[in-house]
Amino acid sequence: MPERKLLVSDLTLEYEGLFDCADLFRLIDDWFKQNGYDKNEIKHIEKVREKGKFIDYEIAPFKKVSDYAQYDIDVRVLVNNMTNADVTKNKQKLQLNKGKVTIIFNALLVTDVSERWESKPFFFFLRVLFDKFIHKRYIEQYDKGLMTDVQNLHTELKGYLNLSRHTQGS
Amino acid sequence: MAETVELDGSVIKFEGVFDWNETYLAIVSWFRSRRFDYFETKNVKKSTTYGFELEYGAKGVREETDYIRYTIKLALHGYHMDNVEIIDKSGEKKQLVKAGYIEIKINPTIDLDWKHKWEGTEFKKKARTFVHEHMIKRKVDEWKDKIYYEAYQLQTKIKEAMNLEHKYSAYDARKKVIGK
Repeated sequence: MPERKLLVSDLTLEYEGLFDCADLFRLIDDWFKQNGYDKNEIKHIEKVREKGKFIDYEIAPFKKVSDYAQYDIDVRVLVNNMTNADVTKNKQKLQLNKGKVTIIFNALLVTDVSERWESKPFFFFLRVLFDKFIHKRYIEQYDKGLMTDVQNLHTELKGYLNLSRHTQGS
Repeated sequence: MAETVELDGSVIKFEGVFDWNETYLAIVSWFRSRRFDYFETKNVKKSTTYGFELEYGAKGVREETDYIRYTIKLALHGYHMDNVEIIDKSGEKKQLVKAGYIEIKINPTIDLDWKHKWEGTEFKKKARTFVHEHMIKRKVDEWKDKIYYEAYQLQTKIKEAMNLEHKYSAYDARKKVIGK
């Protein structure tokens, strides 16, 4: 088993109001592709309920930064009571969605991806020593890189949803 | 036995109304357009107290070269399904299927040495394993990546046919594998 270090746990973003659901998913997908992550969809559940649609969409894209380390970001998008809403803005008719969105982020730094340092207890011990003392600076750089990625994604989605809020108001 | 590598698949779960005919046609035409040989492995429809239960299984097989063969398996299971008729905005009547609950699984696999040329002796098998793991490892990863993303393209096609919210994939434009 590779070593997994949880760097971000349940970082949540909540929004309620008007937004474009398809556009939101597109934004997440585009961001991961542009930042060099490989696609990994865990689940996609959609249920049509009386009060609106319920969507549970979870992805865990990964990015190999070296042959030793990998970034894993887990994003779960929960949409509750989503309905369609026709909005007129600047004399243009737009079809948007209305509901409650919750986005949960988790980020893991995975080291020894190819499990080369786990075949024997001595190798495992060497790996721990290397990670704690010799490769410490590199591990810290990987940590920083992953945190930056999560922060950027969080900021981008927050900005998009805030923009939706302002659009709703005007 | 060829060396079969099973890759991570994906699951779609849906509860609502969708057009089964359109979904079925989308699946078959996608496989045919990508030169897969299409086989239906299961097609069962059972009447139950709460509508009908549908089990559908299919696989697409493509012999990429005389050494690698791609397979994409599709398994669909629907519960509490009913036929409903709706009238769309243009006034046309449309026959849809109301699904109580439907689960679609897509699993890609890759068969290396599917013609069993390297299986005559134990030495040949071990040589094959050594070559896969050490000499052409990057090449094998590229082949795996190709079918992995093709399976996602199929998933996107199914989502479009079922009119789900997330029917866009930024990775669909990936025609060639980007090697490292």
